[in-house]
Amino acid sequence: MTAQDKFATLRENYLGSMAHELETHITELLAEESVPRIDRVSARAKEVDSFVRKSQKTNGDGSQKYSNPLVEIQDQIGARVTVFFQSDVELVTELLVNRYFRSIEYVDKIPDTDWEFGYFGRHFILALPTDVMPESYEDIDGLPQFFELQIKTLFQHAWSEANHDLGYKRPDAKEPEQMKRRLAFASAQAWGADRIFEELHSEIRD
Amino acid sequence: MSRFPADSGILAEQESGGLKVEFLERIFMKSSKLYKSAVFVGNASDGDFRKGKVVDKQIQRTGHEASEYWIITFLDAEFAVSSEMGSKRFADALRDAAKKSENNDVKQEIAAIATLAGGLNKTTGSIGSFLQKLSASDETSTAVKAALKKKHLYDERFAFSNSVFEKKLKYKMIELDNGARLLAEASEFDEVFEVTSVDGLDGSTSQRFSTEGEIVDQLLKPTAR
Repeated sequence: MTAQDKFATLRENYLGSMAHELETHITELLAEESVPRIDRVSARAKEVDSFVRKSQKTNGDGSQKYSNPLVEIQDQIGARVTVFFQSDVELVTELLVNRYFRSIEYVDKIPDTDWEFGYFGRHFILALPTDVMPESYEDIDGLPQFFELQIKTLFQHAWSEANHDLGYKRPDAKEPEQMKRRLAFASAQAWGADRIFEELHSEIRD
Repeated sequence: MSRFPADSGILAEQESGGLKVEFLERIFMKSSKLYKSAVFVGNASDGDFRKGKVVDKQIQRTGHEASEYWIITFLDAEFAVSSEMGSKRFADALRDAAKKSENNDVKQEIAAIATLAGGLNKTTGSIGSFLQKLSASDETSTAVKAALKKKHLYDERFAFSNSVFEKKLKYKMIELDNGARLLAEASEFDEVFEVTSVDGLDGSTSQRFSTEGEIVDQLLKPTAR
């Protein structure tokens, strides 16, 4: 059985329900701690075609990026928490990443240079809590041990979702460079809106 | 891993009558009571997450400091379940078991466990081992296990945190100067007892606590505790 076939089987039998349980688990944790200004909590199991595309990625020299994709692809289950303000990102991070879950890796996704605007978001690779694992999970071969958690503001999420949707149509764009510039402009506006709302929130709170 | 390059050290233990001092060679294997062993399992891949089991006999003898150094600092490992998560699970399971159980003995035992659990602070164990340590009956242990979301959570080890536990499961007790003791779960106390101020003839103020319900149990105890 190929890794792709195995993933499809695991997804059908386990990953979908695990993602659903993870969504409930995170929602309950945030509610119990009375974390304010949570817009949404969502979790999903990666689509099979998305897993297949990712598992077939190659390095610059043409070699396979993932020698063991079922182990190395760490976002087979992904969760996202969207919040109102930038300071709420810190609150959620402190609770979920520093206290309740075990953090494996952390990446603050920002553009490569200070002059650029594009995707912003905080991504974590965390150990999947056993609260969402199926019974006898240790006997199930190939079950992932991690999930990816994204914590974003509403504006960051709005930009990334729209950009993601446009991404599929981008190769057909008439002026790709202009499109890139306009997307960067939209990102800069989202970034600015985040700053202004955070400042206003701080002023009102104080 | 169960052997390391030979290293010597001094073991000092307080015993009745004085201080016992021992010079140790091949420190990790000199005494079976100082035995340490660790095994980690995972795929041979940089992207894998290795889960391990560690045995450290020093946990019982010298407290958790030595094993904290060994497990956290030396091995750069930690319990798969965080202290907050494990303690919260324990508290949630006790609360849910008390609510669901129709057995008054189980309910009372859980209330006692909730009060005594403070003594577990910073100790490591599983929900099952903590219940055993607190002398929970089989009925109570079964009820708590059934209240967990998943059965395998019962045996997962973590470091107990009293501060987290108390936030999730706290019984509030008020003792009055007339000898009465009023006990209810903290989150429900104000709903269970209605409080009114009573002005005394001498100008003092006292509180009147009112409650209404059916008697489900009453006990005569040799001590007030």
